[in-house]
Amino acid sequence: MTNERIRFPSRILTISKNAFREAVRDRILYNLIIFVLLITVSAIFLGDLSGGQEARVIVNLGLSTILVFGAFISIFVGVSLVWKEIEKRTVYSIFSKPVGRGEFIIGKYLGLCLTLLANLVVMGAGVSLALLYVGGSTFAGAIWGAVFLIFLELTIITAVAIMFSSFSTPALSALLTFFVFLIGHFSSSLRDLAGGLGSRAAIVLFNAIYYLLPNLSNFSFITNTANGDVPPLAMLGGAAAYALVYDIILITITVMIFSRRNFK
Amino acid sequence: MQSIGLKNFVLPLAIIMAGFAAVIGLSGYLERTRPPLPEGYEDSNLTVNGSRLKGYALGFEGLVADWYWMRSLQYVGMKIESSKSEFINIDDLRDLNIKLLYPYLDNATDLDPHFIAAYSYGEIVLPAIDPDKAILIANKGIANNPSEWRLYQHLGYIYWKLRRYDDAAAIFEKGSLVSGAAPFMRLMAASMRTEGGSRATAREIYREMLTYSDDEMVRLAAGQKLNELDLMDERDAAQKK
Repeated sequence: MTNERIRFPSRILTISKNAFREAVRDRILYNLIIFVLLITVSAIFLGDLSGGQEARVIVNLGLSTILVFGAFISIFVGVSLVWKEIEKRTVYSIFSKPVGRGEFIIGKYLGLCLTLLANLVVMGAGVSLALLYVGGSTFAGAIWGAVFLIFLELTIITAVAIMFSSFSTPALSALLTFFVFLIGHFSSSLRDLAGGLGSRAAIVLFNAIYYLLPNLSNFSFITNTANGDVPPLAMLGGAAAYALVYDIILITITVMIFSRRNFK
Repeated sequence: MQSIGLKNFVLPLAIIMAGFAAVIGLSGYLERTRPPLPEGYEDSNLTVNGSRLKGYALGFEGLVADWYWMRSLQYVGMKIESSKSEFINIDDLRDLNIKLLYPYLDNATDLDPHFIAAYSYGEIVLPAIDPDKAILIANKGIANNPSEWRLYQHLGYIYWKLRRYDDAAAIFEKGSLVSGAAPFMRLMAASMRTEGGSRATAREIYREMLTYSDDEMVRLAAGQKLNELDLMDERDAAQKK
């Protein structure tokens, strides 16, 4: 039993390292080339278009692109992570070894989070360099709070994608995860809208959506960053705790569903 | 061996290049044959209202605000470029029909209420198009950013241009109370009350804008105005001789 406990994190670590290597082998990091090109071109040409506001536009454009690229990776890689192992039947050989289903899911999830983190660090560095190039040195350091919040948001999207993929096809999982991404950003606005409608049923429904689905606007700090604001530590801490709690809930649901699947 | 290279590389490459050449030609043909849009179409306000978009832009509000901002700059530039008159009076741009500037800036500042450059641009350019709209955007800017003394300065400038010297004095006075406000704000308040319409006051206003504004567009406009005042001084001096 003691031996099991000691080996538990190391097995998860091995699976997550493999998931990271697999993502690299699948050329996931190629998106960085497109991103670097986009930011470089923006940095060169925005001076003429933005009337002296190029630093602000690079912050908005760079951070928004990081979120979009990150969300695409989370959704499309997330939904295929587990499905590929089942489809290729490699899951049988994995589970013939002393690896629990929970460890498998957590390992895969952490591996993709690591891939996202590597991506975000490189893309954030690209934005910082572009900002230094256009003379927005004050923004170059200030963006990292927003990058961290984007990473937290992506950990939730990844967990949602893995959860759906544990019982559904990749196409449907991707669609459902995308809906969660959309509603997650709208939920607080929808709740306000429902409040204005005056219908009791609408208020109850939208409140349920608000609390049940992740409120991703908690992680939106791009516009504030473009105005030179830095997220306060209390906000970063709160957002990290919120993301962690949601991640734990979603991964627990995924493990529950995945544990009931029959691979015989 | 040579024929395989021809089949696998040269021929497909030739087809791709010929295809792109055809696409370029066809694009030009389509642009030429497209029926023109109805007159006034370019001035139709088809933009999505920023306040309605807020909360539904997936956290990209700032990016959409930037789009409206850049669109407003291009719109004004395009109107000036397409103007048929040889002389453009920057104090009165009503003939250019720049009616979408306010909606663009209003949308940009709805989406990002702290977008100071957008307020400043509106405060400097809109008085020549629609002074009421200029006052609207200035008041919106001050309501959303009460600690930005520059916005009070620009609103004071609008009132001064409208010869509402008491209002100008009041807003300069109010702006001078904001923490970090430049000392000239208090001086401006006094000048407005005593010699609001003088050329010296005008020169002082534009000099302060040119020297201290963080905004490139504001500095550009102030520089032009100072040149105009220099020309007026030179003309007066020549007449005296």
